[in-house]
Amino acid sequence: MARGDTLVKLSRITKVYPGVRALDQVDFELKEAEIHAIVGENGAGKSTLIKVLAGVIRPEEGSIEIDGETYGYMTPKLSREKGIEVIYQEYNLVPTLSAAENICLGDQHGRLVNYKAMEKTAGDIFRQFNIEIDPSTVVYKLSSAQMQIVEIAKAISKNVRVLIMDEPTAPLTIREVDILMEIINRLKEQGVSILYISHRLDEIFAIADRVTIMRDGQYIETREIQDVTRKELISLMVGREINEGHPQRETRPGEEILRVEDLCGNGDEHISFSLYKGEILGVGGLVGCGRTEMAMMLYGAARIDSGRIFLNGQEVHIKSPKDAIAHGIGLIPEDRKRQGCFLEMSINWNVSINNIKNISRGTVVDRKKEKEAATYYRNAMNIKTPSLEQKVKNLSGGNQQKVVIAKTLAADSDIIIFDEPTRGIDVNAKHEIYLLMNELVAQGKSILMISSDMEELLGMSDRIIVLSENTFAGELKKEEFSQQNVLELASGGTDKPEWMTRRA
Amino acid sequence: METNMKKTFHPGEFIRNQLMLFVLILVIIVFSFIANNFFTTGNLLNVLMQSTYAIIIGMGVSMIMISGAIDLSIGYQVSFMSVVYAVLVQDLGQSSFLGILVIILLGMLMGFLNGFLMVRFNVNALIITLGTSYAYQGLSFILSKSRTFINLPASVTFLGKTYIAGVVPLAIVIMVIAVIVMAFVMNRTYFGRYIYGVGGNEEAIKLAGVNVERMRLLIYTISGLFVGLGCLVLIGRTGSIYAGMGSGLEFTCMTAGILGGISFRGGEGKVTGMVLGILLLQVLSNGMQLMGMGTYPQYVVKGIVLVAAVAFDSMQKKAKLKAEKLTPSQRLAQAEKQK
Repeated sequence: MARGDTLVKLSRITKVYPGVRALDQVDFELKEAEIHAIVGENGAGKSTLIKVLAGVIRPEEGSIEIDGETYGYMTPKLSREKGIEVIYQEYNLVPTLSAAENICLGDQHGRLVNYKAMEKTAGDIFRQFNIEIDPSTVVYKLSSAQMQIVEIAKAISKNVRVLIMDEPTAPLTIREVDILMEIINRLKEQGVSILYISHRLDEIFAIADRVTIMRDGQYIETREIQDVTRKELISLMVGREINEGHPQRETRPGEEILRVEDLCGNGDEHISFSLYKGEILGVGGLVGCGRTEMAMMLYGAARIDSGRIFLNGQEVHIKSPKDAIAHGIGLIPEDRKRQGCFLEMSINWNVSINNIKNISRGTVVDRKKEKEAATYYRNAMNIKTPSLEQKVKNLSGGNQQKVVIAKTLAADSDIIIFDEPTRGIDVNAKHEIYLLMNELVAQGKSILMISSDMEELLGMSDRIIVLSENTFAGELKKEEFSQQNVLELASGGTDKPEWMTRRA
Repeated sequence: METNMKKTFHPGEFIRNQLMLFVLILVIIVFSFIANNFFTTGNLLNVLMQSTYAIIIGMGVSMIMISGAIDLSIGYQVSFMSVVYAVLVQDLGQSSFLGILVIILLGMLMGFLNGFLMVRFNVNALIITLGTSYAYQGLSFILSKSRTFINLPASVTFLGKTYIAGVVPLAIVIMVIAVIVMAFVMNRTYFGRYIYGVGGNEEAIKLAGVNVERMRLLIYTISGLFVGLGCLVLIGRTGSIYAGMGSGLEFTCMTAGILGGISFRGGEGKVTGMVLGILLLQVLSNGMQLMGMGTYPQYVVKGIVLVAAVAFDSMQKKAKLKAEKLTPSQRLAQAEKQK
């Protein structure tokens, strides 16, 4: 088969879940050796489409054509045989096995395990892409970027022809994204077709050959990337014109509310900065540069070794999240499923838990008050759910994030730390969260926003501080904002990102 | 937005949610037909009496399970505190009142110790309590010199033997109070919320400002209080004390908890589920006893019931998913309707 020929063709695929058409007569075509992006809001049907290709779910209608053969549905085995590999957002690695063992998992040659052969296979693939990971490293010791590379290597070792990547850059920093892009381009040169799903349009314009737009389970259009503008793409995705950028606000930061002096602890050293009333202070840096660690100290969830924290000019000692909450500091954590919400519990339950003592009479929870609070936040934040009794695990990512934010806001904080506020959520929900942040600062609250999303960092912040290698690297004023400046500070002058050069 | 969705009554859902209750009723009905003398006031009261101490202790166990932890040492905690009582009162001639106080305090202390070791050394509850369980077992036998103590003073057996107004056993009253208090604490107070939170997502509840370590200490200590109380009822019921007393209670309670829908993962289940679970186990053993089955066949049946209950529950969940999986055309039609 030659470059440019059709490799996979989906025709009129329909998949219905109770009450929703996840896919509605979707057509899709993937060519040999192309990078094909799929864009759409959450719930547009991108993930469902992937699952159809991977054979995880069977469509009700439609056909799938591969290698000139037509199938009504795929099975995981058939999909594998055809060389389709998927890298899901949650990696499929066994954390306690080595990189090499993970890569060779499932390929049995002979009865005994041949570690040498496995390590050679893995090492060869890593070398091919100039990646320095020791194949014998146990996976849980790797960074998420490295884990992703192991996932890719796993797919390559299976003679992949179609590599499907679902939001591959969500956990990566800008530099790591560059490396991923390089790998993807190399794969394309080798004749692999890439199906690339991402919310980050920059990446799509940088890498994709074609882009398919989906909306509400329907196929909208496929375009050559050079024939579409960013604005068009967004309006195709949402079905109407929206002002993508970042909602403007009249920023008038007031007096200093928080001052951090020479903060050390939790792996971080010598961090100093101030936060003003009504300000959004962005915190930039590479993943692992100590931003979350700093937030955890400010929130009392990690021990402070030395340094001082002043709130409204008064020195405070924050020893626990409880202290932080009492001092009016709230945190919206990085990982909403692990740290943010209680998936098995209702929205009511989640929204009230941070502030439960105040919605209780004595020790007894006042359910009426609780419901009022939850109803208020559902309306204020447009949390989409049929009922407040709904378990949070049944909500979409964007709505889960809103619940986490509501939970923190319900405790009525003056300073709110947002750690990656919009990771992995769709354009619309993102926009709503930005509006909310603006409203919060308009109310005189202050926001410390840690973000690895460059557009968000530059678009939402009044000022940016950058950390590098666990210490303060510099501060940028609005007029100094640029991707270049942030990256320069973040990389601390060295060219190669640490994760590449460090042997795990 | 359909803010106020009407609560309609779905019989199927009701049965699913109250499944254990229906199973319990079913088992009672079956035994009423096949086991002689089963369905008599005397026997049913007997079953209830035999459940009292396990239910009281089960209140502590359910709290621990909901917090995502486990306590394997409960059985030998009961042994140890009973033997300490017996030695204090019968060997050392101390007052029975002091002995009773010691039982309660020891319960809380042993619970606290489990929690403390777990928190201090950050070791899995399973391992810590397995360790303390062995220690308490050894101590019980050493202290008691393998004797059985009888002729216990009335002041310690009154919990198991007293009838209020000559009809209502005091043990049952205490049990009912324990259940009501715990159900209230778990469902309505913020302390209960925190326990579910600790079991449901430890990381998130920490960030909600809850001191998880202190919660664990509290949970184990309160559980110890229930163990002490349950132990007093047990002593009252049996009228004697020996070193192996109460052994295996933790497994009875955990089995009952699982039957009643309290998951080992934590963050799920209700204390009333524990009550139903223990009643079911007691009814089963009582019925089988009356039918003349030996102890060992009874174990086999209980084992099957446990596995069947869990398997059934898991199948139910799958069936629920499947029920939503209509044929393609049905689903299309349904989707059209929703549009």
